[in-house]
Amino acid sequence: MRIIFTLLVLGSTLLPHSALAQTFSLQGTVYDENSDPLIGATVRGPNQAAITDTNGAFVLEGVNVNDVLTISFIGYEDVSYTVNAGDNNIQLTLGVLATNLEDVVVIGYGTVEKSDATGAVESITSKDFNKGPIVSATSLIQGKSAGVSVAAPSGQPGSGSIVRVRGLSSISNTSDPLYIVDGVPLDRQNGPAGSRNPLNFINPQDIESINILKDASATAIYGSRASAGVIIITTKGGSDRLTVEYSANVQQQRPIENINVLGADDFRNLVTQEGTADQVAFLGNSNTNWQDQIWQNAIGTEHNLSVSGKLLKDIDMPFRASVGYSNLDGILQTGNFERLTGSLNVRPSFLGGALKVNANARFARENNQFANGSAIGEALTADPTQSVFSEDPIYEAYGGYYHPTSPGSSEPLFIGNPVASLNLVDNTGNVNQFVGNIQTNYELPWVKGLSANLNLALETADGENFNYSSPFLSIDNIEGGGGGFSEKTNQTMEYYMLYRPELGESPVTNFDIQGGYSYQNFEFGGGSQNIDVNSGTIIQSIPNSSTINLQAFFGRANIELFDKFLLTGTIRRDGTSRFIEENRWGNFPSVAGAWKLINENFLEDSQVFSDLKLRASWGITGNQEVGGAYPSFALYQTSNDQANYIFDDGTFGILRADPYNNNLKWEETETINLGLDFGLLSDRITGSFELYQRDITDLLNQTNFPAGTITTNRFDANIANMETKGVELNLSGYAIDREDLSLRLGINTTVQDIEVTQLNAVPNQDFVDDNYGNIGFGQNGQGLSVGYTPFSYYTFRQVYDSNGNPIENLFVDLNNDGIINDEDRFINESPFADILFNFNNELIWKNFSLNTVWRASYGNFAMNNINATFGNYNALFGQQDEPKNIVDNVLVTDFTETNNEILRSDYYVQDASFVKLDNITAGYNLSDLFNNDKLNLSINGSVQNVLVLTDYDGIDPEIGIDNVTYLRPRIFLFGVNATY
Amino acid sequence: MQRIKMKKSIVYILLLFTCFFSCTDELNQEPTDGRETDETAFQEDPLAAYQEIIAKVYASFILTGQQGPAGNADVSFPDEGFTSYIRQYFKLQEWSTDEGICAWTDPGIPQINENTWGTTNSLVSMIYSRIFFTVSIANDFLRQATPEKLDARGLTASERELVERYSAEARFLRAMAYYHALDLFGNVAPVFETDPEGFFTPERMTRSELFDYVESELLAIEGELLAPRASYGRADQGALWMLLAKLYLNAEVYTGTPRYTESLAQLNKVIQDGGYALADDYSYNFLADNHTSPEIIYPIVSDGELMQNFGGTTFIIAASLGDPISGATAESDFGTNQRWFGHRTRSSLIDKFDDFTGAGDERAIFGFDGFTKDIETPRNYGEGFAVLKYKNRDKMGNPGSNIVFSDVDFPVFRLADAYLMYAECVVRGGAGGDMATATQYINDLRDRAFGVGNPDGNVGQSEIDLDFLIDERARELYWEAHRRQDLIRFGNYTGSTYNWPWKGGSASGTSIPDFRAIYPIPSADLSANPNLIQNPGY
Repeated sequence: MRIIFTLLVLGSTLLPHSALAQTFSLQGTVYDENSDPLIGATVRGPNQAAITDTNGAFVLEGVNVNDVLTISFIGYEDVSYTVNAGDNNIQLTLGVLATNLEDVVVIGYGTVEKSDATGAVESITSKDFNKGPIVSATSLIQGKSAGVSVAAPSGQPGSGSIVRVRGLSSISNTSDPLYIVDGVPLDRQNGPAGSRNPLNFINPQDIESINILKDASATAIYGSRASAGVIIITTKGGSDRLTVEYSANVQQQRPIENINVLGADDFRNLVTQEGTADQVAFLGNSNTNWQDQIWQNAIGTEHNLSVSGKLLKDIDMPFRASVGYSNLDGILQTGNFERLTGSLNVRPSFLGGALKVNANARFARENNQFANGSAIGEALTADPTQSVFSEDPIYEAYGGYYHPTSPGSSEPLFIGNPVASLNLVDNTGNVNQFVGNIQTNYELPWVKGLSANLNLALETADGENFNYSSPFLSIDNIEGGGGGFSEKTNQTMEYYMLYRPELGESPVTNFDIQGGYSYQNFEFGGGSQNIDVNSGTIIQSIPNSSTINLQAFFGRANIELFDKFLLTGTIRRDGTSRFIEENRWGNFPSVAGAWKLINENFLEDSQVFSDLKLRASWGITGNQEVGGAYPSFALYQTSNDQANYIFDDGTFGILRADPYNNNLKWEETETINLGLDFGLLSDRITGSFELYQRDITDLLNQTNFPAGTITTNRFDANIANMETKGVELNLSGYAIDREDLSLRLGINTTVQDIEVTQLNAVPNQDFVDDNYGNIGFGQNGQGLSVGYTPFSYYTFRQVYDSNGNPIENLFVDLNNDGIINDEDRFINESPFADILFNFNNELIWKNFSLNTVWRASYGNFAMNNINATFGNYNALFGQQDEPKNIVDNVLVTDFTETNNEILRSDYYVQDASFVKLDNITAGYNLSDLFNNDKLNLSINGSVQNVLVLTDYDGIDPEIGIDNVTYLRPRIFLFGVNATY
Repeated sequence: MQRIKMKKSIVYILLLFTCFFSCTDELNQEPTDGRETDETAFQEDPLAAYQEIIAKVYASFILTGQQGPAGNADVSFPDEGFTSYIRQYFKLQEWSTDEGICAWTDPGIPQINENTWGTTNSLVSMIYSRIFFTVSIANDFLRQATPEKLDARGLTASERELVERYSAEARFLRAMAYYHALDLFGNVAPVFETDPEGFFTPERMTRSELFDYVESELLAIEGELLAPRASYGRADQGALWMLLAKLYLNAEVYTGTPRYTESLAQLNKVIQDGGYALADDYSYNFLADNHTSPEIIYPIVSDGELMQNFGGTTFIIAASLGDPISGATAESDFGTNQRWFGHRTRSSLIDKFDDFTGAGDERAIFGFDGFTKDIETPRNYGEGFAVLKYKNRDKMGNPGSNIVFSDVDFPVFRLADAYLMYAECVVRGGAGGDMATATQYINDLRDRAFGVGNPDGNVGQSEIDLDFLIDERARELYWEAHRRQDLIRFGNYTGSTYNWPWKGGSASGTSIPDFRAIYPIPSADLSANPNLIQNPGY
């Protein structure tokens, strides 16, 4: 009764007001930051609300002058608008929520606002990615972050990148970072057979952001596998309105440069002058540039189509589906890379947003046609006076391809016609890869701020390759070949709970704590079968099928005091099936603190600083990845059919006690990081500065065991220590920032030093482990030694004449024992740079944009093994007297031979510092030509691997040991991008 | 109410975690691909497991891994084919002497050719690793064959007897490996089955301590081995007597104390009790069917189909061939399509034969047509005559079972060697033999070499002295991996009493320092085991 009365009273007091005021109907349109209409935005008045329609338009009834409207949309900053008299058809623009994209960084098991991050984390979003055609996910971030190097190991289409976060983290095991794709930690070790790149299943176009975790505070939550850094890849999700995006490009890859070998005339003269009658008799009359015969300008195309939107009208269920297709020829003839990718993700939320599901499925099919790489070396040495094909009837049985044939003989020597090697070998590899996961996040209704997150993931890959060589390639016309297969299944289950209470007025301005569990099971196996071309025997490999299981418990707490001081602590306890029970578990803690100086009073009125934060972190991460799956356990290995022993009383297969080391335990990496994040002049310039030291102890490495204590000579042990120190500086800012014209510059640089600090169980400063850096002939060019950079060149000291030319076979007798042998080597420079420098910029003028990416490296050295191997007159003739081409460096050295000392002469170790223009891309947005707001059309043209400036003699200064390799091409491409 | 919900969520968390804790059992993983654990290997057929493990110990002297011809290697070096035990042993005993030289310039080879090796020489490291690999798997066999384990594995009495015999054979094979270490390296740190498994730093033995160990080990197992010639290929008493005889013959080098009398005692057992006889033809000992030769006391078995590898006699034959021996000739005469253009001999061996064509002494089996006798440039294959006594063909001229891989067993010990050792022991003053018998033995060899009834070969008792014997050993036993040991025993290896082409790196041969009579301990092992001391001079 009383309630009814109250209502009546209230009603009566309200009535006069509403009767007196002039209400009207207000129309308007809401746009996003790109002036595209926003669909589904909420416009809320004091008494009413409306939703924008497909044109972004709304009509709000019963509006009064001076009413305050709030316009909101997920992911955008709320805007308030006070209604004026006479308002009609108002235009409202919502800006993207500042903390939505680049200001949120994805860290392990969660996200954090950039301003609250305590670790060294770099977040690169799609708008900052390298532009142009990109086949591999990691190429998107080349040159974008200090301390992160991305280099292509080879010019083969679809080949992966070598990614290093703060340099080497291992010696004989992988230094690849851990990749997390949409919450799924990928297998680092076992790529599928027949694939060139384990990340090939992700279409780069699908990637929204890439976050790089560098220091232990950031990575420790991934404990066991994070020592080499963590790269978190987040893919694009659905959008609120139906969007179709199509992009395509056509590209041409061009070989850049040939290795300088002798031309046909010079070659003919030299052979005639130096050779015996038998040798000279081999010469032909042609003039063939064999390198031109194997390399080509290769064409490729790529297409990507994606559709995103909301799946159902009533439920919040954004989705995105994409397909991508690439078909790229390689510059080495006959090579081709074809890839089909598909992805689907659905991110519905239920229960009013309390239950969020993120489901991803990603599939890739790769068909590789591998060009026979041995043609590259053959093209260097093939006799340029011969033609590719010969009319001589003795070659009929071999497809007409010319091979050197001893004068008067009817049997070709199969020394390698590079064109035959390409055309008569068919090597294919097909791979299917699938990664799918369902991540569920549930905000538990019982306790406010408590949420549970479950992630179930499955990664599978199967690959097969087949290699067939034509009978034309064998003297006995035997066809050769073989094939192999591999398959793997990785299951992941991760679960965590997060508690983030809402805090009232309190000195603690932010607090959260989380704990979780992770389970991963990796099953992989494979086998192969080959026909021996000499004997025709079918050789079956010993099959391999292994399982590795990893489990972990982890926790993290964040606390913020007075909106100024941040503290993060993490702990992870990891278990691995690789080690025996006593050594199985490792604990990996980290702590980090940050001080938001910008929130201090003394910077409140600063005109200079718009952001300033000091960070410090310490932590330990671990590594358990060593060669096999069972390195700590005694196992017996069976043999294949070709390995037995025979007595009069029977033939027995052989069973070997495999080597194992039951002392293996977790390798530990301790990292200290000091960082400073800053923003200057209203964030027109932003950047960070990092200072770090990383000590790896108990490094899992192959080492020599005391002879006889293990059933091999070298095996894994926790044996070495390695120390890395570095400084990183990231800077980016707008040099010009006007409405029609902007120029953004990004510069980052790294100074780094890596040193081996222990190598053996017994400290021995003088010992050099020279088992690294194959330079052919079973010879190694690199060594490890305490006090030096790992993989430093290990060389003889060349003696030079007064003109500065090397004197053949004259080396400094460093140990003064009167003979020159391996003990006269010294530790030389290393292939790793002292300073790396990246520079990228983006110029936007109206609808035109221009991006360039530059990279420089200082203090890296290369070992020119091509010159060392082929730069001597002795290489002019093969074992069977056939003439072989040599490189023109011989004209400088006049060397008559190569031998084990010359191969490792420091003459061939050269400064390979360089400046590279990796990428230049120009784009033009054509949208203005169309009278349709929804259509966005742009075109772009790009050149990759544009320019190299270096003093290095060889072709590629980034190569380390310069062996015969598949050279990186220069790529020209033209692309279109349309969004509707 | 709030409290109950809190409890509920805690229970929820705990439930999940309990499940997860039980999953930690999955951290115990085993392979599913045929690899076996200690337990599973012996589960179904323990005897078969023991047989395959002892077969591996035998095979470790020739095969390079678990996958023929290459793959799943035993020891880790850049080229698996190089790592065959007998291949490396052969190189160190032959290429560093007057009998052999190799054209290849792979790391370490020129230094072996020219006696300038250092402590990181890869050939030296490879044989060292191989010796200790054999030791380690022999130790593993013995650890698996303890009485307790045999009790537990349910073998029948006869099976158990067999395994116990295999144990003795494992000890023999290990002793043979240590004998090689004794000869090549002298002072090493041996490891035994009673030592801890896994990383530890074994104690160093001096050369004479190692000698004592090998001697006592062989004497201890004599009664447990098969009688001579009971089963071809097995390490039997004949092999053991011969190994003991070798040990005593070289005792003065190894320990400073001559033991020729003890050597003669063992040789008498070989010759009188062994049941061996000279093959009808010298060449039969080096053919694809040489397992039928009654002369072979202990072979390293080889088979082109069932034991594929790039070591052993496959290597010896293929590396001997190349232009001017054509591919067609290689196939027709040597049963192989492999020509590796590698090792030849030096004129020092050729000159030990009055007629190198084989027209007189049939043991001279050389390729000389198109070859030069002298070597100007060691890396040129055609310089220096080819050694062609090993052929992958049988007595009837049929090729071996495989065109790439050889069927020729490597003759580790054969009766002819025992005859020559007998004569040497007698000449050196050992008791238990006499010159008349020695002369007879030598003339038996020479009669076979020159053809029965051809008096050219006959030598009189007075002609048999040490100078004759060291040359006769070259003529009879060249390229059987005895030469370096023989030259050292005769004082002809280091110094300059006897020079051969390219000795010490000079074309005409030059003195090499005495310390080169043993090889250096590889620096890799010195770095791993602080108990080791580098051999003097290195």
